[in-house]
Amino acid sequence: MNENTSSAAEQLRAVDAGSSAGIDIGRASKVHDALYGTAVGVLIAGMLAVVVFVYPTRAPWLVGPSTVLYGVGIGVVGGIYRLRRKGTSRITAQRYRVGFLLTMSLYAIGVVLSVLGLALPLWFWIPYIVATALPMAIASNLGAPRDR
Amino acid sequence: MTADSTLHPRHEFDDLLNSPTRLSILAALSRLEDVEFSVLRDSLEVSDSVLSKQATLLDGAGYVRVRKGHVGKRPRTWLSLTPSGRAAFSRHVAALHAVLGES
Repeated sequence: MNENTSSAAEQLRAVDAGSSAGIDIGRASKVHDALYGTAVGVLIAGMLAVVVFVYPTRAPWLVGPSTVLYGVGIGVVGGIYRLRRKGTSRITAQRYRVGFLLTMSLYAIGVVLSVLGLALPLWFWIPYIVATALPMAIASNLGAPRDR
Repeated sequence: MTADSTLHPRHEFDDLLNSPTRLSILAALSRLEDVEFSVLRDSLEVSDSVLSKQATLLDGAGYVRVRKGHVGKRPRTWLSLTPSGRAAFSRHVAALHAVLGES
């Protein structure tokens, strides 16, 4: 073994050690990431429920308080997450972004359907609102990858 | 065959990454979106000063982004890999494998 290969082998061992450390950091924040993602998904679905069931004709006075409550909820959840977060796996972050995009898309479609005044039944809205939270909840609960 | 393809793989080495500590830092960051300084320090089992010095070097080369902030009143430093850092790391590791593949 010459100088190049000896040094290369040592450097590759350092790469493996660093890579394992990165994976372990990602795994350690798994529960925290899952709770945060699920909470955000539930908050967005909750806001859709407010839009569908009480906006704007049934209780117009709820527009202000519910929007403030939603903002505070997102702020509190985000604040707690930032306080406790130590690191996030790259794949978890990518899944989170996809889940957030899907949840927000379902939210936007739900708002449009509600505004169109199609008078859709309860059996449509309840599963739809639950489904709105699911992409975020599923994406953030998949956890960090197991590969080494 | 081009002239470049005849070069020994060691010519692809990045001088800055010829250090096990810096390689470990980039390898860990390659798996993470970002990480808090103290967590990476403990995980890699290095001292504050070692990680700080190496992170500054990697930041200066544009390989690592160092972001300072506060959580409450406590200062926190976050590290993440930049796209050029990821590319340099991948090239260097590929060259390492190539060198070993030749032996």
